[in-house]
Amino acid sequence: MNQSLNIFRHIVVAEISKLKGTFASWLTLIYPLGSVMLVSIFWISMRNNKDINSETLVNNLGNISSFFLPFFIVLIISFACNTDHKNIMLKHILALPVPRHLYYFGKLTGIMFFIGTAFILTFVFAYCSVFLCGFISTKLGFGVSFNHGMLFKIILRAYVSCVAIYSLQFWMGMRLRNLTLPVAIGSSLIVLPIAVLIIMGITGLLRDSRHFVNIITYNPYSNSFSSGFSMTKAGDIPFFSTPIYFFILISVISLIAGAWEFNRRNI
Amino acid sequence: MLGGPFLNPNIDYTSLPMNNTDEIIIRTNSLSFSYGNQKVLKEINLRVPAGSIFGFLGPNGAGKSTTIKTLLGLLHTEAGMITIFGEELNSGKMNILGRTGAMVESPSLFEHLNAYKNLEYTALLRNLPFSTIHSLIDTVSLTKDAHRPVKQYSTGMKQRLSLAIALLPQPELLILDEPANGLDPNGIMEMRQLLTRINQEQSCTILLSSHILSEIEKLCSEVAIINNGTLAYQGSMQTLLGMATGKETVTIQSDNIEKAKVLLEGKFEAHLKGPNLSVNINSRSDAAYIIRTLVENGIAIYSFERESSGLEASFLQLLNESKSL
Repeated sequence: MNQSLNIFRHIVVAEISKLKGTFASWLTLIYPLGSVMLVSIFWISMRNNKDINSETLVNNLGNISSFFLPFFIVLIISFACNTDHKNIMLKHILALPVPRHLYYFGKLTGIMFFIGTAFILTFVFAYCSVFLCGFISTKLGFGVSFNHGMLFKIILRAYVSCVAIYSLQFWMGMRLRNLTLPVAIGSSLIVLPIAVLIIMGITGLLRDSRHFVNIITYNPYSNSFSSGFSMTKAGDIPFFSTPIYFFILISVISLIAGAWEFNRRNI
Repeated sequence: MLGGPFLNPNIDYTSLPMNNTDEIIIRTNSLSFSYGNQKVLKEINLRVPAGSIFGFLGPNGAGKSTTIKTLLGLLHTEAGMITIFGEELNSGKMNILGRTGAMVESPSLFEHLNAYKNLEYTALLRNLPFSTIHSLIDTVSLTKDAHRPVKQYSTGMKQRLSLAIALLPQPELLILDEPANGLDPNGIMEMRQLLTRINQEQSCTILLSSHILSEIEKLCSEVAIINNGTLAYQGSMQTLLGMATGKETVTIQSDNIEKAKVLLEGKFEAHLKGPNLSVNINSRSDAAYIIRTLVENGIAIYSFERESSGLEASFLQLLNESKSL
């Protein structure tokens, strides 16, 4: 057990050191910075609007981060997996005394480290932005009503709602030995509900918007930004709901299935 | 060029005596593997003796890389058994791979990382200290370029770095698939010297596949030849070369080619080819006899060339005749 944990720890450290300086690691910076900058520009442009308050700021940041989060996850996981494929590394790694299933879980943990870093950076950049925006207009800064807990809850909920994407996209990235296919499939799954909305709207089939919201809510790739489409304030969405439990189940199943398949695969 | 049958149907050429049979490091029993419906390996019984430099020869698509991948557990065998260091591969895989260094097909390296980082990566996964990395980089002559990203390396430099990575655990068994690929003649010579040194100093058994027959001939004490997924020969290099000695042609250039032909005709099959004399010989001593005879009869020899090396002749002949057996 101790030996397995030791090997697992080494795999995680090796994965992190390997991904440093790659595009996958740059995405960790680009995604939170880009999301916060987009919201900041919006805030600044709206500074004279009388309805603008700290609650709007928190909701805006939550919605923007939640919308881009699935794209970030699809890209970072696909790029990280492709680092092994493009360098033909799997045949080298799997000829080392490293159990395959430990490598599978260790690699995913290493990637999750970067996703976790992006989570923390989102707060770092958000707080820096609110602080700086406060100099432009007192309405944009930290007021007494700024709800720190709500901001944390919204962002964390977005990351939790992507629980199925982590394992599904990772399996896809490890199985399909290129970059294009996992990114194309992942991105398609994210925008699929929006495409359905457009098609239903054009054809006049969209009579009850609740039907559409179900599609976007139960699709593991689009749940994180479903609040934006249901016109619900991000802060009002419950942290755990039926779809989230469903995604956790999908995640566990795909994680086990992916590791099993990887263990049996001929390299 | 070669006359008469080369292989004796009554002899099993896949289990000829080896130089060192005290301990067998790699043993496969009826190893088989298929890609879909295509059978790539057919009941391979490989025996790699301890301490040997074992050459694994075969034409493209013969099954060399597939065999190596099954030995490393990269491919799951459908039939047969692999035993390495006396342990069955499936049950003792981690222990076996811990004592084995390998380089499979083209070099596997992270191109965005430098040589140090690539070695550190493998050291981490193998749970080895980083202290040996500098000396290994020196060993493969990459000290000057060690801080450059690998994507800037030539194929030869990548090949050498891959070898350094394979040597990282100070392996008891080194499995190298085409290690001379992309190396210039100087690089090939350095690789040969390095492998010989590792074999002698660290008592490391080396299994290497290569297309460069002359290198195998210079380096290996034992050899196996695979063709169409079947072992055509397995035994000592000496025995293999011995099989080839009767089947060679020499081409002679001299100042009096007509007189040379008359002198040799009684004993050998000799015929003129333009300005050259082509003579079929049966053994190496025949070559010595021809030179002696010509020189004793006052004929100046300008050149004396064997048309193919012993190993090349044996290799080609084995491939051709193994199909018909």
